[in-house]
Formats: sequence, structure tokens, C-alpha cells
Amino acid sequence: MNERDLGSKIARHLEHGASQLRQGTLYRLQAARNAAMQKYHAQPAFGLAGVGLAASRFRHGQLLSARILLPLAFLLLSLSGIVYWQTVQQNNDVEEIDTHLLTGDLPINAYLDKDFDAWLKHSSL
Amino acid sequence: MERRAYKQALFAVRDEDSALDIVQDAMLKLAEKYAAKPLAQLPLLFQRILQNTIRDYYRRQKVRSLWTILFSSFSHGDDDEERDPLETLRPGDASKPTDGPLEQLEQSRVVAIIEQALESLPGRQRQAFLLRYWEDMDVAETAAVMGCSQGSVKTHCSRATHALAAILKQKGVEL
Repeated sequence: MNERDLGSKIARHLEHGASQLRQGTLYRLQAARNAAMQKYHAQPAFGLAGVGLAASRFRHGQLLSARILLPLAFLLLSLSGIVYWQTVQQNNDVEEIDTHLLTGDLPINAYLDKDFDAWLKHSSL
Repeated sequence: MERRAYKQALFAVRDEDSALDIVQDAMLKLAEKYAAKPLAQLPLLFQRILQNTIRDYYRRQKVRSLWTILFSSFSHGDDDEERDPLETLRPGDASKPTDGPLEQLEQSRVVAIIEQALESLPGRQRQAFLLRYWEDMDVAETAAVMGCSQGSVKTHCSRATHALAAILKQKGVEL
């Protein structure tokens, strides 16, 4: 008898042994199965499960692949660019007003601006 | 599935309550952590979880026995109570009318001998044998569950089968 045949025959006897479990043991196994099935059905829907899966993958460092990192880097660069452009633009506006103030070459619209007028009177005091 | 899992755990830990706890833990872990996995992958995952849970049990037992040795007096071997052979004789399956009482008795005797022989095997050999022949996994699947090479699985299986054959021959059992 070869290894495979003996293994199969022993497995058949083991199967018989497993079918002869005590009623109390079977009851506890059934209860364990039911509890597991309740947990299984209580799991969130696919979307949330996907998020959970992604989070667990992130924990294991498997998320750090080019497919994820490249869009993330692009997003961060874009946000940085927008913030930088806005800052530079504000500085340019302030510099332009300062220049016009110093050269006395303000546009007529500046004198029509009530806030500017108030600031001018306040600063000249 | 849970019956075979219970028996596997019982062969490993030799305690019914602990074996039941292990199976329950393994089932709950499978349901909690791998519910999103395809159904086809669940049996393999369950086997891996079951083997890990058995391993965790051994680790806890090791720590517990260490503390027991440190803080308790020496036992007098009361824990090594011999098993009553009659305990192994389960009532027969009434759904099988072809099996007479004598056949059932002989079947139960053979099963008991096989189970005792399995318990006497080294853990890795028993694990490989059960996964390969009882769970009907191929070598690659068994290796994946055991976390070893396919060559190791073949070696473990071969040694287990030869050891079982020798024990059965010694006990006068012919399959």
C-alpha cells in the first residue's frame, strides 16, 4: 500500500470518528458556528469592507505602491502650487499699492474707496 | 468543517474544552477579519487561522506552565490520568443499518488506535498529514497553511505515514 492509499484510508476512519462526536460537543460547535455566521453577516457592506481592507493593507505597508503614491504626490504638489501662487499674488498686490503710494501715482479708483480714504486719514494723523 | 477542525485541535491540545475554544476563536477570527474575501479562499484561510490559534495555545500553555512551576508545589502526577478505553467507544450511527454491533465496535477500536497514533506524532508531521489527507489539500496548499516549503510538507507527510503504518502494524490493525 502506498502513502496516498494509506493516507486516504486513515482519513476515512478519521471521518468516521468525527461523525461520532458527543451531543454536547456538537451543540457547542454548532453554537460557535452560529456566532461566527452572525459576525460574518454583521460585517459592513462592500464599500466599507474595502476601506477596512485598504486600511489593513496600509498597516502592512502594501499600500505604498506607485499606483497610490503617484496620485497622492500629484495632489500634494498641486495644493502646494495653489497656496504658493496665492501668497505671491497677494504680495505683488501690496507691493503695487505701496509703489503707487510712494510715487503719488494712485489711480482715481483708490480715492473713491472709502476704506482707503479712512486709512489714509488715520495714517496721516 | 467544524467537526474536523475540532478533531484537529483535539489531536494537538488533547483537551476537549481547549479544542472547542480554539475552533470557536478560529471561526470568529475568520468571520471578523476575512468576511470580504471570496468564498473559495475561506477554507484555506480558516486552516491557517486554526493552525495559528493552536500555536498560540501552545505558547500560552508554555508561559502558564512556567509560572506554575515557579509558584506551585510539585504535582503528584494526578493530571496523567489514564483514559478509559470505553470512553473511546461511541454509540454507533443508527443511520447505517448495514453495520452490525461487532463491526461498529471494531470500527471504533480502529478509530481510537488511529487517533492515539496521530496524537503521538510530532506536531508538524500530524499537521501535514491531516491537512494533506484529511482536508484533502494539495502539497502547495498545505505548505501555504503550514508556512513551510513544499519539500518539507512531503517529508513530514512521508514520515507521518510511515510512523502511522508502523503503529497500526504493531497494534495488529489492517486497513
